[in-house]
Amino acid sequence: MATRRDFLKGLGGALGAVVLTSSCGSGGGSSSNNNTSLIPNGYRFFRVLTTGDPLPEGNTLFAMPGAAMINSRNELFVYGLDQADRSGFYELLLDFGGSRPAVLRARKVIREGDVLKDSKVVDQVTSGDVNDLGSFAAVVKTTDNLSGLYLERQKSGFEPVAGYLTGMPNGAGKFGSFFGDVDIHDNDNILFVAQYAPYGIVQGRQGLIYLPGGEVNEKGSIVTSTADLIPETGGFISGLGLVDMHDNGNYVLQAYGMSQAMITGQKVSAGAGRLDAEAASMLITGNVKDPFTRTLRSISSSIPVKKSTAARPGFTYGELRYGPRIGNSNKAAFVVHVNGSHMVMVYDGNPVISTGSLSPLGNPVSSVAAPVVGADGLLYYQAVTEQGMELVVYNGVDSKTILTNGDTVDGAVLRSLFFGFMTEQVDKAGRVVFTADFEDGNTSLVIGIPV
Amino acid sequence: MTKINKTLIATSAPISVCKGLALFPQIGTSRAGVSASGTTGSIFSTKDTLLLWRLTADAGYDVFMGLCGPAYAVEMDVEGEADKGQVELTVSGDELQAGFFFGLTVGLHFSIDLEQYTTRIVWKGWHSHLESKWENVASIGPSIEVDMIDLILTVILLALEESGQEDTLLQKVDKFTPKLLGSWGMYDEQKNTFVENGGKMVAKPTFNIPIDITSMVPALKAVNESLKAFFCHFGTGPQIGVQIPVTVELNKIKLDSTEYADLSFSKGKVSGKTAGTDPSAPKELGLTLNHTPNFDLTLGVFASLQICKLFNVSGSVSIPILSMLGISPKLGTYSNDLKNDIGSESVASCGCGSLKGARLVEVIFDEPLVAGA
Repeated sequence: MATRRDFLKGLGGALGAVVLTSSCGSGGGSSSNNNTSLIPNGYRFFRVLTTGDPLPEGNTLFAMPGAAMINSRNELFVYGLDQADRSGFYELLLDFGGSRPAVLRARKVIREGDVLKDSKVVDQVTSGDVNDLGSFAAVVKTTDNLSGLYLERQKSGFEPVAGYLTGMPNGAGKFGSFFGDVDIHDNDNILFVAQYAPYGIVQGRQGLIYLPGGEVNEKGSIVTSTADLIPETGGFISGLGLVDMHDNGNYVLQAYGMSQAMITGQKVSAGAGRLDAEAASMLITGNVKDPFTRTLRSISSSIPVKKSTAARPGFTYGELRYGPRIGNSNKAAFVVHVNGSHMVMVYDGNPVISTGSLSPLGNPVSSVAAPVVGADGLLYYQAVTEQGMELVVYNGVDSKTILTNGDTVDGAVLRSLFFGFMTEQVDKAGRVVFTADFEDGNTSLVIGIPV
Repeated sequence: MTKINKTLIATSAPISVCKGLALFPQIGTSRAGVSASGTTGSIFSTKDTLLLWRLTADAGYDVFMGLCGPAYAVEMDVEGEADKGQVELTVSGDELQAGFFFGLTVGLHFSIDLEQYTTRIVWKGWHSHLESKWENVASIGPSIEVDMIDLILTVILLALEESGQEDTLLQKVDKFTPKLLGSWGMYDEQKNTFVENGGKMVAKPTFNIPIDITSMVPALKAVNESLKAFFCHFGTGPQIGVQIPVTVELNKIKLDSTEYADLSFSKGKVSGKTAGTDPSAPKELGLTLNHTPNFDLTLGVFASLQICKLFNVSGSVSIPILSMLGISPKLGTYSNDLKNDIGSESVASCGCGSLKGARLVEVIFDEPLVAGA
């Protein structure tokens, strides 16, 4: 089935580590129709940073658990731990002009122990995202036991944007000390999840907050919050999870909620009461500029929805455990856990792959990661199979494997790869970045360049 | 002319919210009573396959809350004279406290088990093959029980200061029920505002605290220290909201059984008129106070586990504290009488939640004057 691929893979070193794409049934090569993007014929993969390498400021890279990002300024960002077990993000500026990418500059972005512009000391970075301006938005837990949203513009250091008891957009209340996921897009527009104390209401809430330009002012807004109605149901949002925002303010949001029946069904009694409120997860899409229009794309089967909603193409029942993604034209990509081990990936309303089906290399799929949407609409995802794992590209028609375990990258045999942990893992040129374990015992930051 | 010597009118001496007058007397006791209750439950529970991992995560809680109040307490010195059907009293040292004593013991229980599916190539020439298995890579199960208010006291005080609630006091008090790890008084205090405000005293103890406590508890901090290797973060904490605005207004003055109404306030003095005759040698001075309360108390617990921008499971529970404690606030205006022997500058304190020992303080509740929502 993949003899051409196997043969050429064996010649990989001689070909400069080019790995040809391979698909199940359709063979290698490009394919397209009027509505789909071309899948590159092959990729060249390079290890650009490896455990044991020196880090900026004299430390040594000890581990990279999987969070890697790339933007269209040829900047790679990776979360790593140094030899002293300090965690943080590092940035590599690459030059792609030569036969292999060269690191022009390495920089520590933010790390435990750093002093921020508000004089607070970093204890832990709990969420982060980059954009094509090179700006970095981070949720930082500081050593004063509080958390806040920080923004670094143009490599000029992290400034506080929102923190405990700071004011919210339009004077809607004050932020609490829990900040969840954050996404930064063009023009430093930031969308993030935070707890807050609304004015005039004694109940604290969790909100999806939009800050145009990364500033808290009258232009910002609370896009949605707990206690809002779940779109197209009679239930209420009870929590917010992961978020992704794309061009024009389109966003996808992982949320949690309860139906009225679940709320009224809670057992409460004085003295020996028990109160269970395990919320159902769901996917909501919308636009930050139109907070009143939201669409439900998937939801746990424990919450009833309208028949018209259930009949919508691509609407899926199940738990949304992974972060959803969104690409151009408001196309949402997400994975639904139909149960604890059975998953279905959906892109633009169509099923892409599910556990139990065959991967492009013909192996039964046992698990998938969250997808990443490329600028050209290609969908990238990682599938775990009974034979190992595959990094796959999907264009709406064909799925092709671009890397699998056993492949050789820079002379080392790939053991495991970790893709889909962040939203920004493919740049506008179609370069993919991820971390991978190799049989030589090291973990590397790997970049794949389409050829 | 009848001289009225300096007389202390107070709900207790020293002033104490827990020994004050219940804001909602229909809940059973005239005095601020003790209510206590607890609950337990789950915040989230999940078992999912995530790429190469099998994650089993559970979060649960138990809460025990005790409340003394909500109530208000007043104290003022009154002296003056009555003549020709009019009483004129000078009020000094007036003080109002409104709020409650409470304790919040929260237990948080977490279990996070992470197994990794490992695949390796076994090199055996023609018999080379892949070998895969599930291996436990992390097993974390902290369980804590904390005096939640003690834990987050610093941030509450910061919140009160930032929100301009500088009159709202929060201080540790003697435990009023043994099951609590600690007891706290949360109340607003106003001094010497009585006459200037036309016989009204207004207190607005308020705060709203959504806070992540994982950095404040060593066991939870250790969890996040372990999880950072996966760019993973666990957050949990309470969402506490309190709002108890209350207005207390002097409505009538009594010398023995003679009532003086149509009260007016000027230059530190309050005057009232009666259609009857001034008592020649009154023994008892009484003040009728009306109070209009509101009350909202919320408690929530949240927990969230996040791995990069890959995985998130969250949950929150809103605990109906008032119904658990058997408190059903009925809004309206309530009338209370406070009396003392003229010339007495002390009152006996009462046991919290009962009228024991309150011999010198007579409290009479009328029906609400205005039905509330």
